[in-house]
Amino acid sequence: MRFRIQDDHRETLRREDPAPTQTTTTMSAVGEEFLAAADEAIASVLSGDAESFLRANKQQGGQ
Amino acid sequence: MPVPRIFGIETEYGYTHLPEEGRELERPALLRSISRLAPEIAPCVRAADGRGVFLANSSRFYLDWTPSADKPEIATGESSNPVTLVRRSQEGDAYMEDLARRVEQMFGGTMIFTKTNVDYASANTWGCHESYLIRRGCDFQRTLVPFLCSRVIYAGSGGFSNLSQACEFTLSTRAPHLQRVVGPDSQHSRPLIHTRDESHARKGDQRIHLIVGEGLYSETALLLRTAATALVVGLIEAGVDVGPSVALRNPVRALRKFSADPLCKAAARVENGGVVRAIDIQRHYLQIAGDNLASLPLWAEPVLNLWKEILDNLESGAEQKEMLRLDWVVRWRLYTKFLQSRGLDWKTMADEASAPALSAIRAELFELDTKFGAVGNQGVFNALDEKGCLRHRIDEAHFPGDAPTRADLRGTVIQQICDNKNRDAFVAEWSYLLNRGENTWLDLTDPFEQNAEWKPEYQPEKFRLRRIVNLLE
Repeated sequence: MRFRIQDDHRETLRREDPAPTQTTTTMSAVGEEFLAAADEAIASVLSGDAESFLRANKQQGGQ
Repeated sequence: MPVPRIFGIETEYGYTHLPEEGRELERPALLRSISRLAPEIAPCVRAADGRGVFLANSSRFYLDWTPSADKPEIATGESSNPVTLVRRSQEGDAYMEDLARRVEQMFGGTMIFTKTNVDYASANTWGCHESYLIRRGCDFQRTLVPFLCSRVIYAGSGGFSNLSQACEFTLSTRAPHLQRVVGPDSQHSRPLIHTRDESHARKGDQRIHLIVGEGLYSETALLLRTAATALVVGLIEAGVDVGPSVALRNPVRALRKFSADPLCKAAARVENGGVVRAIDIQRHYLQIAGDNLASLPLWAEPVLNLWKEILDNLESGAEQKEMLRLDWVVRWRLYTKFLQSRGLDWKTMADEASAPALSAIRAELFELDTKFGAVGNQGVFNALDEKGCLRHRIDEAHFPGDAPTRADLRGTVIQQICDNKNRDAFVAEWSYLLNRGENTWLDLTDPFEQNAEWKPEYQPEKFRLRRIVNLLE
């Protein structure tokens, strides 16, 4: 079967969009299980002294 | 007739040892210990140049150790199917996790290896580099660059710029560090495409070396990044022209603009005067790949379907449940939740992050981001995945066509060598294995070599000379 993409993407090449701003998107569409797991994951990994952790994690560079 | 593609990745790992009281390790001493432990935790033979080991899982572990860089690194074996590449990447992560536990056994404390590609106490970055084999002489830059700049909408790891005083989410933590399209410098004025030209392969082969990308955990993201890029390389080799409509006027600026927009609506100017979104550029390449399917590998068609599905999802918005399959989306949603639970939003963090009341929140986000990328059960991505709330897994049965490569042969032979408890007699390189005791060698110059025929009288000078002649030609 030959692959064919049904879209008219060339029509979507558009005039400049306004610069986007980062907003807090409504989370209503997010899975409930993800939200519950997120709370748990956040609580379990934060050390309580983030500044100290970040200092300890200072790297010497790479490529 | 489809030509098999060959590709691999090199993942640099950030590392931190959090000591128990009184047992702090200096980084050089820690790195020396990591280097000593590495050959002990898996079947392997030493690299011929003394840098690390080649593992029986076909990958290579080594230290990228210079005065200005110090990273443990895993280079996967050469793969011809993107699912194989994903599995080899995961094997590399598992190896690093084992290494972390061995360090902890030796020194106590907590050892963290992270695929997060920046640290937030300095302006340092490190990468996940990609290599794609292409026939020498193909002019790939013009066609490849718009694709590389726009693939960030599914290939970015997500995180924060460590060059900014603000706290703004970025799809790519590498993007702020990239300053040019092509170049030889991988530590300062970093390019998207590195000009290193070591094919480690046959006369007539060239290796495209990309340093634009980050370490990924999502199977979907890693597969799509690798497969779509390999398909574009295939199109280039087949002489397909993508036309002028996506030629970016300023590619580096476009990459940064696309990276700064989780809504994927940002548009960049193209040379013909119009503007174009990353999704539009990607759809352009997708269309061309679909039109040339007959010349592409067997796994191309399901990849094109996945590619279209992801672009459609992104068009609908990353808040959709279906989008919990890309690294940057998982990060973005996690951090959005973190802010919401504290009564904050992204705009406040972008505008006022340096205010004393918010600097602690900013530091917590950075700690969270560093640990998001940690290997093993210390990593936030892995913890979320363990709970079954992500949707990034791929079904390898959907991506057929895997031509065995020399990596499979190398891995099998290394396993046999280790089973015979004879590994000290051998050393390896990408293009050969050498039995120093018997002065015989296995020629792996052909990336698809499957014949374990040991040849007599290995002559490294002659071999090196042949490589130089190949390069000159």
